[in-house]
Amino acid sequence: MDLLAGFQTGLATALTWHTLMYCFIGVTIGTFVGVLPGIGALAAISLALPLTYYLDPTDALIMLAGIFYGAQYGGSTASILLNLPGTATAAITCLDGYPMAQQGKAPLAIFVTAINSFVGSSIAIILVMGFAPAIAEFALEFGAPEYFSVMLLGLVAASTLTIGSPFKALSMVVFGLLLGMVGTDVNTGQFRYTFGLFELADGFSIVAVAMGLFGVAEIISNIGQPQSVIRDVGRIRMADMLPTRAEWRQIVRPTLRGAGIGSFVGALPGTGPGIASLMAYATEKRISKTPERFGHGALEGISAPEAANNASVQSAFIPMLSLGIPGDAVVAVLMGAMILHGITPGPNLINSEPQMFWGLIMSFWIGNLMLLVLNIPLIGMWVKLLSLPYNLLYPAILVFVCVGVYSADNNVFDIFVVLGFGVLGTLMRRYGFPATPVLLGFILGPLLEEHFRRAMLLSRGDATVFFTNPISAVFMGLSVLFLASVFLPGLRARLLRQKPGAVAED
Amino acid sequence: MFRRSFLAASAAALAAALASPLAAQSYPEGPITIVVPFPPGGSTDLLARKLGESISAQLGQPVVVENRGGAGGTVGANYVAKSDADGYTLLMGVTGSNAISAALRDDLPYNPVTDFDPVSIVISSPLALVVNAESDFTSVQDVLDYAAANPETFTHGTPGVGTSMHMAGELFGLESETKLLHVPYTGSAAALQDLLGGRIDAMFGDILVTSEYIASGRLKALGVTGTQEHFLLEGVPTIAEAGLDGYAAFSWQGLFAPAGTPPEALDALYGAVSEALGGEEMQAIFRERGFLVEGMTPTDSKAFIASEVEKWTEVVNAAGLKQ
Amino acid sequence: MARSPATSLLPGITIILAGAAIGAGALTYPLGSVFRPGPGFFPLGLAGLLMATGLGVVIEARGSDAAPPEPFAWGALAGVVLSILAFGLTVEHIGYIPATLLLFAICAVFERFRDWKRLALTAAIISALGTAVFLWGLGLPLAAFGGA
Repeated sequence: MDLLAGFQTGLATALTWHTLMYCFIGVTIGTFVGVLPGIGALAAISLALPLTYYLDPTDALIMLAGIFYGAQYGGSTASILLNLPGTATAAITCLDGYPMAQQGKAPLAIFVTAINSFVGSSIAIILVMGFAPAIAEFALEFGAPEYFSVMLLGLVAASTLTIGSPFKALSMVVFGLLLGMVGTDVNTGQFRYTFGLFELADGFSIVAVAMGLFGVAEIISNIGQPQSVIRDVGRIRMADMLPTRAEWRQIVRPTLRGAGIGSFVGALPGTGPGIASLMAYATEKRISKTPERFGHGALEGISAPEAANNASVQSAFIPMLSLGIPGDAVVAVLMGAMILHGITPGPNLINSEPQMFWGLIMSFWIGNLMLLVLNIPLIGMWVKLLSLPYNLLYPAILVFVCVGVYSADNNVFDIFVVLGFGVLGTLMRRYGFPATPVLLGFILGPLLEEHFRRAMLLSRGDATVFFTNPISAVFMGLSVLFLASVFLPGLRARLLRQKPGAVAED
Repeated sequence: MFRRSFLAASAAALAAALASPLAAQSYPEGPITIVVPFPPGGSTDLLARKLGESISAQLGQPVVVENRGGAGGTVGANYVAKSDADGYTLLMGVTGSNAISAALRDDLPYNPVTDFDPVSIVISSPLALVVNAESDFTSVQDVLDYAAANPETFTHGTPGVGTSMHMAGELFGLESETKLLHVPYTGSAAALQDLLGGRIDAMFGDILVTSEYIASGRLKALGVTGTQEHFLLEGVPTIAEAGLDGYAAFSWQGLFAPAGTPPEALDALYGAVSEALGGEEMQAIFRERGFLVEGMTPTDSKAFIASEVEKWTEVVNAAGLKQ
Repeated sequence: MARSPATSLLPGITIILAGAAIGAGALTYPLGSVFRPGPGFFPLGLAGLLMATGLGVVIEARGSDAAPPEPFAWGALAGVVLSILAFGLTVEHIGYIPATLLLFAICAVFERFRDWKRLALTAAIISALGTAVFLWGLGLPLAAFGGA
């Protein structure tokens, strides 16, 4: 089926009234669930899935997918306003989004994330439409050595991400990597660092770690402060939200780069939006002429990762729809939903279920448009709601956090995990240790280890695979370049200093 | 009537074993919870929900499905093992949670044999030994010959240590006196990706999922692990027929109650399950998913679990996998 | 400003000690080799790295002047810890609404700017909203009142 015919089939499916309705329900649930701290897209889809057992399969899938990408829109709201990320993606958005909120620019920040989410998604949808099978075949070329190299690049990026002491940041990356080791060893089934606690067999829940390190620690440090955390901006007018001409110029290129990076990373099964956001943010900071603004409310610092994470969420459908391989945990649940409805995704899906494939893709457009229309008017409401006196707000947030982490596995153990990490996060803050690197190390650690060990197993212990494999070699090279770009400027400054009138060391 | 007499025998045996026949005379009096030890969307979830609907209609009480995932099903199983044995909290257990885990781990906080009273082993499903369509291996015999000549070289990917796919591979090695190279992944999708990309030699995979790839010419099936040809993979021999005599490996799913559940409750539940299995909707689902209907009686199920634990313990010990 | 060893020296040393403990834990798992790493291999290497970075933090702390830490809000910490603990311990037994009210009450006890009336109103709204969204909407296995 060619593109145009597919387009028509898809629109015919996606524009029926019941499909539109389920799409709207999905993105609305997604938005609100994304805003609620603690309940991520995964938990929401898992919980909503049984409700769709009785729907038409295409409607069910469109609704569940809507929750998935809708949550990406909502997710940035709580991060920006409350420094309360539930995912690694949102933690990256916090880096610059929360400083913006503290400067009274919350409406602008949320508006930009909404627009960028839309642009990022749109670019990725075009890729899905035009090139899904080709991209999926390319992704199949990625084996353990390639994944390891990509993750290594992510790790290099994560190490240079935050402001402040490099040793503190590095120690927190390593700490995060170690946290990721807790649980069952993939290769042998051995329990590591579970201390006899059966609940730790799958490791710590990322939501619980993020909610503790960021959310609970944030609450503890805010309590007792007389003023509201969000500067009350009064009545929010459109002008507070819209970027100025200069700001538009500032965000265009980072958005496009972010969308590109996100589309690529998302198409690789097993990576996820967190890594897409991380890569996009690190790239912007690296190529920026004024990297020192990052972490203090740089607009690029929210534009690129927001475009990237939404793009990655859309392109995560590529391997599932064209090969039957779910790209991440959420897509895996969606695939489960398709199987429940008697459709087993495989390499034939596009041909055997064209109505579902194109209908789903067209619903992405429609859903993203709905999200844009839905989210912009909500900005004022969220900002207002969260400008409530803090002593009323924080117990409510604590309830949502507790129930949110509970919902992932219906296990109170995770509530205690949040508590533990909240106390740890409070101590880390007090001594100036950043929390974001912990979270990034936490998602990268298990992936690095798993792929390294699998690469070694499959190459029979030949470590040169990381360099003889062309794709892997490219990423290894990029890691070296990245490191060089961090250390070379200092080196150059040192060399220049020998001449008179050299630039000052930063 | 064969089934009925077993049922009666089991009820009598249990009634004799338990000194509290009054506990659940009018079971069920309230809602029944079926714990699915996995997140929603999987085959266990589907089975539990469909079974639950039918049980609810027959016994006249609501049946609630609760997903308590974690650690390959063992977190949910442990939860039910420690629940009140009143027939109101049940487990949809699987091969991993209710047999292999006991073989694999000394530190499992529950015992699959003594901590549960099975209601019924509901379904079983064999696996398919699949290779990349471009692979040089064309039969089970090829694999046997190659593995015999090249120990620890033939790679098979699995969704993880202690899964039924992993055990099927280990059993293959044990019975053929060869040594395959186990490559564990986190989930079957990742393993499938490497199989499609030609980086691993084979997988013991889910029949429904692999049948899609076989139909599209991406993979080929060398054999099925069951005792007879499978209806989703017609023309594919069993591994036993194809060169490894006596080989059989299944994954199965069943309904379990905590040990000490009143026999009246078990009887009522078993009656409802066996009635449900005859229903047309269930039959259609089973055909679609490639499940084989079992519907074992509680007594048979109990004996079956004990034999499974024994079988996998032997495999685990022979492969040196014990944790 | 006076040099304050408490600011970064203590955490640096804690990190080194944590690294040592984690490394010791890693030694109890099979290490394997570089070419066939076992479950202990990565944790051991990372524990070494953690100790090294901890040493870096210590050296950095000795070489720089740091501001003394702000007075610590022990009350806030205690309030949040106790309220979450109470919620987690009770929610499956007394139900979502009583656990929520308990959490609010504990927070209020530790709160300096107490406003019982508005707190009660917020607690009521969160109880109602949560019951609708979490219990009815998302179908969590919790009861509004009592054990599930």
